[in-house]
Amino acid sequence: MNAPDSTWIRIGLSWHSNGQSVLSGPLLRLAKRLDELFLRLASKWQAEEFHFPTFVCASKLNQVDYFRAFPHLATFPVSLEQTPENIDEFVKGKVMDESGALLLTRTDPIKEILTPAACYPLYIHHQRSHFAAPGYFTVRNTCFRREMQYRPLVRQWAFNMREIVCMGTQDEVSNFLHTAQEQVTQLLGALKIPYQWQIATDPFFRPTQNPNYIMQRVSPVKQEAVYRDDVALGSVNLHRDHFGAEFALLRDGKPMNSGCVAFGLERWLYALIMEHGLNPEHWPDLDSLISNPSGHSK
Amino acid sequence: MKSPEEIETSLRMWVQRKAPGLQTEVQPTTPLLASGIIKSLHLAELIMMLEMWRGEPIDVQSLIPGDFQDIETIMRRFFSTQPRESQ
Repeated sequence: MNAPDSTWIRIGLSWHSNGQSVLSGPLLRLAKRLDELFLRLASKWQAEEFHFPTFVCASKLNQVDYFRAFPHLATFPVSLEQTPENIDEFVKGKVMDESGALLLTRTDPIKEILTPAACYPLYIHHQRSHFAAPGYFTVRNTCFRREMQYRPLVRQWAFNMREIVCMGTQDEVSNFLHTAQEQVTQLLGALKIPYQWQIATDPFFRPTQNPNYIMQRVSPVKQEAVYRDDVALGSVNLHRDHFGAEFALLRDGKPMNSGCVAFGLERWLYALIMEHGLNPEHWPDLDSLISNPSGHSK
Repeated sequence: MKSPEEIETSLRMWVQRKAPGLQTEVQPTTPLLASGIIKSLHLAELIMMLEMWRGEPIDVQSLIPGDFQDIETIMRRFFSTQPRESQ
């Protein structure tokens, strides 16, 4: 699907070619139910829910070398330099060129980034914390990743990501990821979405020159549930002590391990519609799955 | 050019230097990545060394899980004259 046709529009999808979708009507209701289903899954670990703002402090992400690893994906909030003279200069100018590009005058230094993955703010929020037991958290955020090309619901500049995160010992995180993968497998089965678990790597810039990419190739830490060999619906990720060491997330004085399971909400919508059709009456009954996640939908 | 035995000795010494706190001597089957002895920041240096010793480049895209698991695996993977088993 390059642009939604009239049937997609009728179920509530509008598409902006800059990589953003608008949901309404049946599709928005489906998206809400889907997220409730993920929350129901998170409740298995009594995961504490967080809602974070859109901006993440760039210096914090720099601590985990984000800008060298994924510079091509980053999106930054920009504002005019806050002096009346500079703002006057902007207002009195042409403001915008013929292509729709703003003709900004001087800008403030950029010290923030738009959240590129839902779970980063969690590690930053808990920095310099001592844990006595494993921590389970869930977070949903609109995430921003600049891409060369966009596809409605499948590859967007702005999209919704729900994550469930475990911070704990190596064994606790490993058990969490194992159970999470089983639960996602069960969920995809109940929704009758065909998929395959595949070993994957993160989308590094110039990957072969990045030691973290090489490490992920020889010692995989990421598995994706891939829909029809095309779209990764979710992933199970082991971070080892990457965040624990950088943000001083400590247990018994040592950096904790962490891991997460991540769901791309729009991609799940895409797979559901592709499998069950554009008629909402034929969509799986998510309400019954929310009350009984291991059960089967109609 | 170094013999396989010399390469293995050099490799073991290099690994040992990366783990000064290790109580025991590095063995051919000591896990390198799982144990945390070798971290991602060491990989570029390791690959450069292996390329120098075998006299040809290593295509990073051809690396597969387990290739740097331990010294024995590295020797078999990059210095064996036997054809690689299909994966």
